[in-house]
Amino acid sequence: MKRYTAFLLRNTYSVLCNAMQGLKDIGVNQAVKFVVGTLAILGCYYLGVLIKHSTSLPLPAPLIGLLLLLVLLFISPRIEHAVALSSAPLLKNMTLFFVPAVLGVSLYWSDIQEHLFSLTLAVVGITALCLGITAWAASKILRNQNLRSVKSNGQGEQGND
Amino acid sequence: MIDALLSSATLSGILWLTITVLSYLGGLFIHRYAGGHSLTHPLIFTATVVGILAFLSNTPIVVYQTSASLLHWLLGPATVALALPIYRQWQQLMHYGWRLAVSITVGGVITPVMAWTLLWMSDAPHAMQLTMLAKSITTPLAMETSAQIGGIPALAAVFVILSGVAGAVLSSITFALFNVTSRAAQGIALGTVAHAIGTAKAIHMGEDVAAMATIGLCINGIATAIILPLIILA
Repeated sequence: MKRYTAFLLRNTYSVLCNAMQGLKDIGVNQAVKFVVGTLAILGCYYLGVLIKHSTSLPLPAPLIGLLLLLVLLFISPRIEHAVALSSAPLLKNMTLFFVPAVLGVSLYWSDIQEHLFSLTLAVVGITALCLGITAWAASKILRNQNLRSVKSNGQGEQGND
Repeated sequence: MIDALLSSATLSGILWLTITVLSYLGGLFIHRYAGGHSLTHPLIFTATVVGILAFLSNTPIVVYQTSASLLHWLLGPATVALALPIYRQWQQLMHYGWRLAVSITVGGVITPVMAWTLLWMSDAPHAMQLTMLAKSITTPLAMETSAQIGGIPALAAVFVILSGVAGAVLSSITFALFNVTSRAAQGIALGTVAHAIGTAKAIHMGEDVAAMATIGLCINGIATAIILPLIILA
């Protein structure tokens, strides 16, 4: 009986140790990386806001933040995985963040209504036309470059549907 | 963030955030169920459902926007997060070099010029014409740029987002019409002409397309945000 208890205890202990190690390897490590990545993104964002407010730099704050994060990634490539972890949900669900602004359409309906036809033509027609022209021009300009296949190093965290 | 958190941490804030996120999940489900077709873009379903619910519950859109301001705020950090795809595709950017810059310039110049010309010919108000000049760059940049040149920032958001939706929804048809099969060219056009919504669409098309769209979005955004005030205010 005593032998069984000792065996059980030892087994339980080793299972617990393994679980803790696993948690350290996957859970805790990932969580720490996620926090580091989030801090990097938020830090760059707020540094961008600060730079925007304290200088007369003509660039918008989020763009300054983007450039800062890019510089940070080049300086220490080790944080790439951390940034990838925390930026994946932001990049994947960017569509969600447009919803409040999109609903603002109704606020300016009377202004829009007066020039509805030309505005629709500019917003839908011109956009589609310019999209086509730009893509066509780009495919001609990049024509000789198409055969080169650049190895993709993504893990598909930007969404793949 | 504090302002956005406080206004979203109210009862109506939590309610509208929940409604928006649930509608978005529904929109995503429909989008996936339809095999990722452009017309089932999650934004259309989400905005329609939330808009109908706001109308039925007699909620002014300004109240909704305050309640869901946390979502709008996240657009800033999400823009910062775009640094990652650029970093990862740096080799490709260096490889294409001036060709990429010229391609982006084509879209960055013809889009505002054609849109402005159309509004100018149809005698639209001056502020509206100026606002239309910023229509192909990402929302936060467009709002700030239009404010600088005497346009209407709020209207800029509407034009920009509708252009993005139109670009994202019509992209497959347009690329087919113009017979463009190059994924790089499609990405450049989506990012340059349809900004962040085009990029969101490109992200769903694959990381290589998304990287090109992101480069188009960023280069056109920075260039337009700097050059436009210089031209208009000079």
